Amino acid sequence: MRNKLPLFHHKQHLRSAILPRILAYIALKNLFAKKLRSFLTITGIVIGIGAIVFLVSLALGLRNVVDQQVIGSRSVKAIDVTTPNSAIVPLDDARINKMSSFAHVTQVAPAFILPGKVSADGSLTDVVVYATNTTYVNLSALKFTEGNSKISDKSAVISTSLLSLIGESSAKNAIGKQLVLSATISSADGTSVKPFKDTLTISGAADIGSGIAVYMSSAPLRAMGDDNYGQVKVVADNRLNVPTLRSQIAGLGLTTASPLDTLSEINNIFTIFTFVVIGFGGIGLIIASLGMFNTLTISLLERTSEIGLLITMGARKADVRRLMIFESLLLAAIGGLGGLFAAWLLGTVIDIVLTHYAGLHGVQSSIHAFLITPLLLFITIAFVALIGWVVALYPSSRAARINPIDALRHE
Amino acid sequence: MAESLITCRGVDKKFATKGGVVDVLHDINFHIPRGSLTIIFGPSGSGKTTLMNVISGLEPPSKGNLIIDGHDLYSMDADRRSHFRAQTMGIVHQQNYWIKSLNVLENVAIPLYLGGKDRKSARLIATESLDRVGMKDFAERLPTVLSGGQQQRVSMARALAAGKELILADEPTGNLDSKSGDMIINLLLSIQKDLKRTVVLVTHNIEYLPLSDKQLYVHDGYLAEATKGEKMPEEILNSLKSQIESLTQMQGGRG
Ligand SMILES: Nc1ncnc2c1ncn2[C@@H]1O[C@H](COP(=O)(O)OP(=O)(O)OP(=O)(O)O)[C@@H](O)[C@H]1O
Ligand SMILES: [Mg+2]
Repeated sequence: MRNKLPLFHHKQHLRSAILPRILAYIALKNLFAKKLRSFLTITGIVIGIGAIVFLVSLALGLRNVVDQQVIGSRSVKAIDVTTPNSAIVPLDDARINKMSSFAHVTQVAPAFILPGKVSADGSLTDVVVYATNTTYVNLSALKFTEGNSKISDKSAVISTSLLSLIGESSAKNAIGKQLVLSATISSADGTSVKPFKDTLTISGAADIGSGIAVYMSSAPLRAMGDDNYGQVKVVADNRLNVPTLRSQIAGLGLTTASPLDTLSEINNIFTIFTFVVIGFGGIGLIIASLGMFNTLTISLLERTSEIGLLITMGARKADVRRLMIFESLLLAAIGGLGGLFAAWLLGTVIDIVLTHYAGLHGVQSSIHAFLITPLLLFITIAFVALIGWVVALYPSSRAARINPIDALRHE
Repeated sequence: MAESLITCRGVDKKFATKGGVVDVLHDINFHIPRGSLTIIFGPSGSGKTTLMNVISGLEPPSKGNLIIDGHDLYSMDADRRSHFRAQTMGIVHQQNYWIKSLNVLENVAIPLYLGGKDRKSARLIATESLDRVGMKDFAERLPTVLSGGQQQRVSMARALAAGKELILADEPTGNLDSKSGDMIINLLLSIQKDLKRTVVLVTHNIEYLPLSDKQLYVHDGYLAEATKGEKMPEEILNSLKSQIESLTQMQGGRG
């Protein structure tokens, strides 16, 4: 009776036999056995990764805050279209129809922009008249103090700056009051001028800053046969399609503007800021990586005889190499997650404190100066894994070259 | 005659050291039958451990071949020899070596893990093996806190768990009192008889010689062999006697 030995084909590629999770367990046990050193190494990585994530999330968060300040509730998908010269390239129905037919256009909202005067209580005030529709007012993202963006015939939305000039004490009181609006309509080539006059009921008031404006329906002007618009807002289905659309519109000889212009300038500044931040955090990370390298190398030297023992018990080069890489990846993973968590915690606490102080000074909205995006999360994790792997390359290949008999003698 | 499991042919082993070349084994030839108990003995420094390392595939000989079950060990690369060890052999080293961060049970299970066994079945075999050497109660301890004798028993358990075919034990009774030593030898005997495993044992204790099927006497790197019932050559017995005398003197001097 004999036990049959397995066959050993010399050409056959030898795959690792030991289960990876058992190797990982052995690696973990070893890290646990060296608590202080593992702790110090992990702390180094937590600080390195934490600093980078903290700073980058601050850069991302600030950029986000600034973006919101710049764009406000304006849609980044909207393009403001004007004409450089209404005599040569009038912004008329023909061009609007053309723009409506472009791909990726969801909305086109034109507005007449005229100089006008408002008379109320016997006083006369200069205003800018926007004769348009509800969509345009919506896209203008006005801050309404009273009423809403709905524009109908015979009603008007006024800027809050006009209130005192027409003798109203508050926006609330002004609602329902009447005002007499007169304006002059010039033809596209500027040769003929037509007067326009109407009495409108105030349906809303919005804060537009220092400007004085009245928003009314464009219907009366269109009824007079006018199509010499001052501005058109064109909305794309996606912000990514905005650049193509803009160049198409520019092809009609029109001028375009978009909140994305300002945004991309801000982005440039923040990109530089982010790189500076990564540079500083990177120095910390390099130091942390050296600490990790040191830990692994010492761990290897200390365990030379253990690795020799593993080989006498049947471990292969690949197993030994993997064991070292597991140890390194474990250190990196724990340190990396710790760093992410620390950065998140610190950012959240600072946000809470800032929000609290801002609240004391009358700011109602909460502040989010830190932003950890999924991309930042992903890049951090990938980066940490890469460090863990690179750092383990040398010690692991050295471990794989250990001669078991010499190693056992080592003890 | 029983089929040969291990065949050693013309093995020389030289070490290159700073002080020059050390000639440790000279033209060693022997074969070990499958299922036998073979005892290797000889004076300290004669090359027994070196020979055991050659047999286990850990020490490539300077010359000659080592064939186990038809496999020429040193025509394989180191990884393949490791794989071969994991599948066939259990080794008790002359000193006790441990993975210090793992407990006794895990240490015994490691060669099984390395052979590809999963956690559960490896631990089961390891527990059984610890039970055989009377160390089951120490399974959860760290091996380094055990006494020398206890460590040797755990080391034995590890070799039993791993050695599906062959058990190589280099002085496994070195740190044990005679009772525990006898227990280990009886254990090896029962493993050999009941489980039909091949056992190669290095020992200084000549009381055990009659229990073996075959004796290999190593002296200054030369080998003489005798099988059961055969008489050892006169010169060997003489040197053996002086060896025993010096051993008793040493022990007397210590105690
Ligand atoms: N790697 C090596 N380099 C140089 N010399 C070595 C090496 N390994 C063993 N030797 C020498 O080979 C000889 C035999 O050593 P070995 O360990 O095989 O003896 P042994 O018979 O097992 O002795 P003991 O009974 O004391 O364990 C010794 O002289 C030793 O110094
Ligand atoms: Mg020895």
